[in-house]
Amino acid sequence: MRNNTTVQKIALIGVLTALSLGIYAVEAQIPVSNIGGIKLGLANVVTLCAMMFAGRLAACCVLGIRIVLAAAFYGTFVSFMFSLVGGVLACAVMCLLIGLFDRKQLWVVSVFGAIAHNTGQLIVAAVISGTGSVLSLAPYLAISAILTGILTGLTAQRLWFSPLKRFRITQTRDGK
Amino acid sequence: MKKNLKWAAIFGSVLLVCLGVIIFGQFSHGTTSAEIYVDGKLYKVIDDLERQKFQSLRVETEHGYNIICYELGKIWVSESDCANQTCKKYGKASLVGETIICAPHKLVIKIVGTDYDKADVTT
Repeated sequence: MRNNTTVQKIALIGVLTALSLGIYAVEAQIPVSNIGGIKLGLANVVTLCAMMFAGRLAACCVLGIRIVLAAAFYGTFVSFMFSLVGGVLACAVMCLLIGLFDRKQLWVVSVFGAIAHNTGQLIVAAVISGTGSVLSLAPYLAISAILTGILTGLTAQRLWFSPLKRFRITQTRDGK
Repeated sequence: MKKNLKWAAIFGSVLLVCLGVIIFGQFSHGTTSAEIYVDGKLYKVIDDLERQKFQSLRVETEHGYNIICYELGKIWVSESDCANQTCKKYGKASLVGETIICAPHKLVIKIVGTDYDKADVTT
């Protein structure tokens, strides 16, 4: 039975990775011309879902594979560094926090993840450009992190409280 | 529900503080100028950005070129041979604190406020 859970988990990771890569690609095509090159970060909905449906490790897998594949398909080394640092920070923060909040407060976890993501990107920007002057973007990025974090968090929350919930993989199911 | 409200209040106040910082930044100075950094060093300062007529500027870096345009308080990157084109996607920057970053070329364009005193001395 345990074996069965592992297979389910791997399948779910595959599906979710494909989904998040697709969302990421579509989002990259939207020609946004606004402050700070702000993105919605819709792919984060999938990361959050993976975290809830299949656990922290699965979420890290989905995020890691998505970042590497996205860089291989569309990106450059610089954009890879941006998404890697942002992604790792966001994932670490969300992994720590998801146990502390219940599912109805998922949007809070998402906001903290978005803040961590933007902080990571700002650090990369400061390191690559060699000036601390990019820090003046911080208030703009904080506002965008809160707004987009709420949006993606509520979307993921909505998916959790929906019929999709039956796809979740729990340790209790394999009779432990 | 109570928890939701608590966190909404926390994030709401952070949002307001950030908005306050941005809005305060817009009014606490006389004119704006744009600073262009290449490879961490100040490359050029465009003073009095509001009063500039349309002009374009070609910046050669060791990694490639960027064409920067500015007009009446706005500055933007119109062309670049970098790979990810994030700088072009940024659009027009006009608010103090806005920063356009072209990471592959190590180019940073930042809008800063100039003090009233300083502006008086130069005029």
